[in-house]
Amino acid sequence: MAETVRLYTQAMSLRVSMVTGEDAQACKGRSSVFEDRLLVRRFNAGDTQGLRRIYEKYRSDLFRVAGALLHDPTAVEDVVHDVFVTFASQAGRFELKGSLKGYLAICVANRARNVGRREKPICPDRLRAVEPQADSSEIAADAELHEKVRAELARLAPEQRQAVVLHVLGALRFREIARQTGESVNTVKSRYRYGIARLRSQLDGQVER
Amino acid sequence: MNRSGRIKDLIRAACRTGSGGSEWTPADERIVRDASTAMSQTHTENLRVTRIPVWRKIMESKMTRYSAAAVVALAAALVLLNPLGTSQQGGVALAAVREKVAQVDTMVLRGEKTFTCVAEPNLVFRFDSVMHFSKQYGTMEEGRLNGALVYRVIANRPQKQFLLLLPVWKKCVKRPWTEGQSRLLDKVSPTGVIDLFIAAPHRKLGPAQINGRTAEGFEVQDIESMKDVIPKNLIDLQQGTATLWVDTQELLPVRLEGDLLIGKSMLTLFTELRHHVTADLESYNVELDEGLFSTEIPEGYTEFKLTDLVPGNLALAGLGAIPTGAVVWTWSRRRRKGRTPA
Repeated sequence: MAETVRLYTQAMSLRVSMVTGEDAQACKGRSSVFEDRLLVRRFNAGDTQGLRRIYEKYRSDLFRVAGALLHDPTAVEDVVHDVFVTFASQAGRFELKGSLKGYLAICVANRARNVGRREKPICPDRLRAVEPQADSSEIAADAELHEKVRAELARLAPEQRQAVVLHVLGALRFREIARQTGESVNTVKSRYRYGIARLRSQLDGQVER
Repeated sequence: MNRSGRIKDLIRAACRTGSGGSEWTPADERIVRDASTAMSQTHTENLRVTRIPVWRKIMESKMTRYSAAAVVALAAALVLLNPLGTSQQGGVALAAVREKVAQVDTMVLRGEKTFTCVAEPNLVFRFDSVMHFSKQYGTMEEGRLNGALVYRVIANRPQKQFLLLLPVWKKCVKRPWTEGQSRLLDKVSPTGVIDLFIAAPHRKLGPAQINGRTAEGFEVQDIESMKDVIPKNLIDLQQGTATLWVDTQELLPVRLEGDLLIGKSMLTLFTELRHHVTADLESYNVELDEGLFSTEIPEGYTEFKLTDLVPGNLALAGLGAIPTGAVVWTWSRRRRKGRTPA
């Protein structure tokens, strides 16, 4: 009952924000959080449609994160699959702390790191395996640069790579990453800063293009 | 754009993968399917873990098992036999059946009632039940478990009294009907069942042979109207179907079948149950002894009182919400006693 009242209050406050013309981005973010809470409630009640909606909502982000940390499309799928099945097996007792997207993204990152430890060192052929299907002119222009970016990203220390990937590709705030990983916000920020600095130094010249 | 921004864009562009695009792929379908399966298994397991202990405790004792079963059976009987008022809509055939049934003075139905615990399908109660309906005297239903009479419930129309007998424990409950219950009692008749079929959208199942008679079936899948009959916290009807087979010659119902999914509620001891009922017309317009509907308390029976629910007397544990609490309370108390102090 208390949970219902709380959700109702959130919904009302969200509506007021929309009516009063509050910042659209903030409104969208709160709407998403509210939707997540409702989805988690449905999920905990055993509603498969709720689970499906969660997957639809975050699959792109999760695949991006896994794709940046792994270099084998099959492994990427397996990681997302395993994370989602594990998540689904918590139905009925899952407690949302922080954002759902953050939780899932961290799960993907952790599992990808475990899988990555078992992987062989990256070779250019494997990097090409995840090359996006784009038209030939785009490939001609950017393929080499993208390959270099992925190679440099792969060479980063795992913690730095995770921070960069989660922040840039997972669109997670440092605070959220810190909460989910149990690190301090400053530690996460430092890792990200070092990671970006290293990428910048390695890609210097190309970045200026 | 600054250099950090440019690097971010580069990373995003470089890490765009095919699998995470906007299009739904077979891989997505596989992931959702496997996750849904995992979720369903977990959900079922959760239900089993949380609900089964109470049932296990009840099943430990023959007495509590029977009493719980009796109460559940009674609750379902109330729902199934309670008519829902008359309706002007419906098919001509059923209206004719109702007309015919309304002319019948007495009716005896015999059948079987089965209750299955959803979380643990091995927990099954199966009753043999007999229902007597009399326009003049009211209704009487008996339930037997392995030949032993477990309950008898009588609703006496002229006296406007209700009597529940629990022969195993020699306990009884006798109550006058309130004004509202009295109106309900007025409606308790076989015509009520027909009214249910008339009131709800139904479909014809076609002809079949039932007990050597040619009958036509009518099926109702919408039990929404039934849900208002009994408060949801007492008995939570979630889904259900009911089938009525009508003798095409005599225009009388020859078989009633029902399947109900009852959610966790007080009278089901907070567990989900599936209920299946079958009742065949045994006879109609036969002489029924007035004594069958007597609400006189038989010798040796004592009035059921709240003091019967004191811990240790688990025999009457199935009589509803308070007894359920008593079961759980007694159980935890025993567990506490069993613990060795640190």
